[in-house]
Parts: sequence; C-alpha cells; structure tokens
Amino acid sequence: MYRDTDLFLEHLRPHYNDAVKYCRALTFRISIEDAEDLFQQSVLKGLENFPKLKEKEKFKSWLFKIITNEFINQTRKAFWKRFIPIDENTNHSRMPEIFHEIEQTEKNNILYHALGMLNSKERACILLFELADFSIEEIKKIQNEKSLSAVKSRLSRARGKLKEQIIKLEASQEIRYKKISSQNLGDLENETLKLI
Amino acid sequence: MKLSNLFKNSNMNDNLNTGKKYWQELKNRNHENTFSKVENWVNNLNSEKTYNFKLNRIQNMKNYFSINKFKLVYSILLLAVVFAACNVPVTQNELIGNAINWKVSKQSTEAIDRINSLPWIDKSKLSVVEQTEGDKTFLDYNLVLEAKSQEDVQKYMQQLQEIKDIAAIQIFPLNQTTKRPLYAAALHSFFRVDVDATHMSDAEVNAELDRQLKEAGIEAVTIDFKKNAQGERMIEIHPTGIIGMEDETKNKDFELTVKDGNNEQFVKTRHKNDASLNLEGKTDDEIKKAIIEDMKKNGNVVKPEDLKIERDAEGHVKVEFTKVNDSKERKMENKIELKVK
Repeated sequence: MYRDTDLFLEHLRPHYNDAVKYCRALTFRISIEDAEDLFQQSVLKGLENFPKLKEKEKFKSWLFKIITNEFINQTRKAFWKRFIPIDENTNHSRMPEIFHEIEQTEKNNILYHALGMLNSKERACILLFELADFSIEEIKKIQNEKSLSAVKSRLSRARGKLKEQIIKLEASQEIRYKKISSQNLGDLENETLKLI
Repeated sequence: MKLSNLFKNSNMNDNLNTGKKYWQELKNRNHENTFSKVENWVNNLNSEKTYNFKLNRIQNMKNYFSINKFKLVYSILLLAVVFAACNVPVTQNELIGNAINWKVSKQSTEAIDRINSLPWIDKSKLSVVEQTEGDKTFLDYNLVLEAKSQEDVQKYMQQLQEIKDIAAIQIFPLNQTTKRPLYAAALHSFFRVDVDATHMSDAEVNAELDRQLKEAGIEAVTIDFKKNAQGERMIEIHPTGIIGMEDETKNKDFELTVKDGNNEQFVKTRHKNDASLNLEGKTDDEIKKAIIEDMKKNGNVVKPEDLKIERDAEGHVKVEFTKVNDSKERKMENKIELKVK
C-alpha cells in the first residue's frame, strides 16, 4: 500500500513530460520496452520512497536521480537479462503503453541515434543538462560525482561526440535523400516515355 | 549556475549550436496527454489485491532464486570446478638438497687435509673416487648436502674455492617429484591443528588429538595429562623425534592449539638442522646463547631462564621454551620445542 499517492502524482505532473523524454532518450538504442521498464521502475521506486523525501521542492532532481540510477542498474543487468526467462515484474500490473504513442520525427531520430553512440554516463549527463535543464552542480549530485570538473569534462566530451555523430547522420541522410530523388526522376522519365 | 566562464569560453559553443535545433525539437514535444494513463495505473496499484510490495523475506528469497536460477547454476558449477581443481593431483618438484662435486690432485696433501678439516662435510654422505687422467691421479669428491639453504651451499662452495689445487667445483640440485592434491600441496609445509577439549575425558582428548595429527601427517607427538595446584587438568603436548626422522611427514612445522576450559595450550614446532643451529659439543649456556640469538632473528625475545635443556643418551638435545600468560579469564601456555642433535 502506497502512502501519499496523490501528493506524489501532484509532484510528478510538472516533470512528467521531461521524465518520459529522458527515459526514451536514454534507452533509444535498446527498445521501447526498456524505456517503459525504466519509467515504470522509477515511478514505483519513487512512489515507495516518496514519504522519505523531506524537501519536496527537490522532487525533480530526486526523481531524475532515481531514473539515472535505474538506468545504470538496467545497463549492468543487461547481461543477465539474456539468461532470465521470467519477467521480474510479475508481482504487479504493467504500466500502460505510453511510449508506443510517442511518434518520432526525423529530426528526433537523428538526435536519438546520435545520443545512442554515447556511453551511458555521457548520455545521461547531456540529457540532464539540455533536456531537463539541470545545472552542473545538480548533475554532479544526480550522477554522484565528486567534482564539478568531472561533470564539465563529461559534458564537453558528450557534446563533441554528439556533434560528430549528428554531422555523420545528416550527411548519410542527405545521400539517401538524393538517391531516392534521382530514382524517382528516373521512374518519371520511364513513365513519360511509355506514354509517348 | 548554468555554466562556468571557463566552460562558456571553451570551443564547446560550436558543438552547442550544432545540436540546438534538435534539442529544441525534442524539448517542444509534449507527452502530457499520456499522464492520465500513468495516473490511473498508479491509483490502481493500491487497489490491486494481489499486489504486495512488502514481500516477506522468504518470498523475496524464493523470487530471487527463481529469477536467478541460471546465476545459481553457474555459481554451483564454478564451486564444483574449484573443488575438483583442488583435488586434482599436482606434481611438485621439491628441492631435497644439493650435490657438490669437485676434483683435487692426489699429490696435493695440503688441499686434502684442508678438505678433511671442513666441519660441514658429513663423511657418511661423501664419496671419494680415485681417477687417473694421463700421468696424473685425481680424487673425485661427491658430497650430498640435504636441506641446506642456497646461501649455505654458496658459502661452502666459496670455502672450497679458497683451497688451492681444487678444480671443477660443480653444484647439482637434487629434486624429488611428488604428487599430491592441490590443497595438500598448498598446506604441505604447514599444518594447524585445533582441538576443544573442554568437555572431553583424557582418553577422548588423546584419541581426538591422535586422529587430527595423523590426518595432518604428524605422528611424532606425545600427550601427557597432569593436574595443577588448583586441580585443573593440564594437557602437555611434546613433539618428539623432530630431527633425523626417516619419514618426511614426521618432520613438518605445525601449530597445535588445545583449549581446555579456561586453559589453552599452544604448541608451535620449529625444526632446525645442524647446519643452521649447530649445538654439537656445546655447553648448556652456549646452547642457550645460540637459541636466544636464533629466536631473536625470528622476532621472539627469550630469556635464558625461559629455556629448559634436556639431553638424552644418544646425544640429542631438547630445548624447551615455555611462556605462561596468566590472566583472570584464561591461562595460556606458549611452548616452542626444538630438538637438535
């Protein structure tokens, strides 16, 4: 039995959008199911520990810390998950599918793919900064880092890699687009000749 | 604090601009329409009859084992492999000694005399063969040095080299190949025996000690039972036959601890051969001095009055060192026995 469910939901509502996007972006390379698992586990953990949260105004960073830790745990468990046939979450009902409804635009796909090329800590770091608008100090606490410089250098590395990946992905998409266009032109020519 | 000045001034601004449109696109996306689904799900969690978040410990354990059954199988297999590996006989090459070979001209009486006067040469382990090469006659010496350290062997070799007319000094290590399980190989040089004799009769203690020592391959121990002034039983353990035993297993270092009520006896044996501790022909005082010096090297401070020296008819010297720590709770007797020839 969870206490303070209503209060928890009240606190969750303003950060729900960012939390969902954060979960999806973290697990984009894996699967939608992993994003759902991550979000569900984080909500359950948050719900369980919510009464222990004394400073409710720090709810956002607290929630994102839970998500980040769950994501790291999920990454570590990935190896054993291959051998475990039973669903670990059989003792409660599954969360409704929310991520299937998220429609990916082309631009988002490029960003998600580029983020997928970063390692898990870098990915979490840049998402916390860019998407969730956390400060370096807050990210330091969320990622359990000892110094600000560690977060700064991680962020800097992540930005560099992300830029590189986005440029590569944009270039490859441009080539694909040109190929499709020339193929379509060729088809049109053939059709015209047939008609003549 | 969003970014430090240092961070802002870095070349990261370039990287920042590259992904800006994508970040903006991602930020503008709105998934709040799905919040109601999550809200319903969270509210339903409390009403689910089957759901029990606080599972009891046994249930948690059962779940853990059922979920992690593959991990358990791997762990058991790993333990089985380790157990099997420990029992697989391993072959060990043990250095049991060294053989020294040298030649000397038969005419060089001075060298032969000096060789004969060397104290470390055991005549029973020395063979001398006469050889003739052309018109010269040589004496070919072969000496077996058992259980000597490399340092000693080098020292002896140096002494031989100092004698003129000695030629072709050679050292051959003597190895023995033995097979024993891995764990026994690891424990080969050291055994520890612990016995709690608190509620045991004399006969039971004797049988238990005998069994444990025999299992450890140690037979040369005698056990005596005495009563002290308070009428408490005192168990005395005497290592015997330490030096010169034919059976190698009787010549091991071991530690033995016997707990009997408030008393505890601790026996630690150390084996000394005549090279590292030569007590032959020495008086009791000289022996004590040598033992004190030797034990000092091993970090033990021993006073002459702590040492008890006994000699038997065959010329063996037994040195007993007993230190008794008496406290209110416990009486501990530390005994180190050395038997040397």
